[in-house]
Amino acid sequence: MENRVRELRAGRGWSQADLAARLDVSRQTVNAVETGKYDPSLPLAFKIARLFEQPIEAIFQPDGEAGH
Amino acid sequence: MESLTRRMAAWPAWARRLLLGLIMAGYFAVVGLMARLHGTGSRVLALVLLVALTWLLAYVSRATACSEADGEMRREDRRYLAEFVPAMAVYFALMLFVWPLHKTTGTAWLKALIALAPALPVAAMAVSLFRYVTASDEFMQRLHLQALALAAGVVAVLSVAVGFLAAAKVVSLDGTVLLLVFPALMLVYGPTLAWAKRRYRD
Repeated sequence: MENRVRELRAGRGWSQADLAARLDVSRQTVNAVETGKYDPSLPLAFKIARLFEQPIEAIFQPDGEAGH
Repeated sequence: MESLTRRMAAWPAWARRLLLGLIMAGYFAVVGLMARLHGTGSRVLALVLLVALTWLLAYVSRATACSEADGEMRREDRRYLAEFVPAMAVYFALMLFVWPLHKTTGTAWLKALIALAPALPVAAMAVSLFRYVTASDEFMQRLHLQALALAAGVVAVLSVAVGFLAAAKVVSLDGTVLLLVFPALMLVYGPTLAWAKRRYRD
């Protein structure tokens, strides 16, 4: 799964720790999601989508479908 | 202590490992001396040292396993330490002051009670570990699962190997060797958690 979490976070000027605090997860979790090493559960993905006020599919896409 | 952990996490890896090694050496030295202490004063001193070293170990091992940014302490980390360290303190207090009484107690039920007393704080430690894992977020739960699975596997293989050696009378061991299982699990869990964290680091 590919995602735009890093880009969206950077766009708001937040650090990984800031985003982690807003999502109530550890900074390591944010890092693992951003680097694509961990795919979040649906509840966490929805939480991220709500926080960035974007539909979930605008943030997360299956591998190779980003930008389509 | 939290800012100290964050500052320590910025040290070179060798310096963090050296400090962790020194604390572990001190820990083992005091634990090794426990059975030979007789006076109340020396036992109280050993208890104070062990509790202080447990606190230090908790923070330094965290700083050793983390990058600077991960030195943060979350709610569940604080609760875990607030539950685990007092349980360790009770365990050491019972081992230093209560457990030796089994040698001079004749009544079977009282002897059994004294012998089993240290198992209670160990149960409290196991519960605090369970609460810690279940309170962690989903990704951290995955890391704990991988680390605990690997640690349990290592300890299981070691236990079985030692058990077979003892059964074949290659080594001579009595039941007290079972006392090492839980500490061994905790000791292996630290490095396996650090390994699990490293696997997901960029």
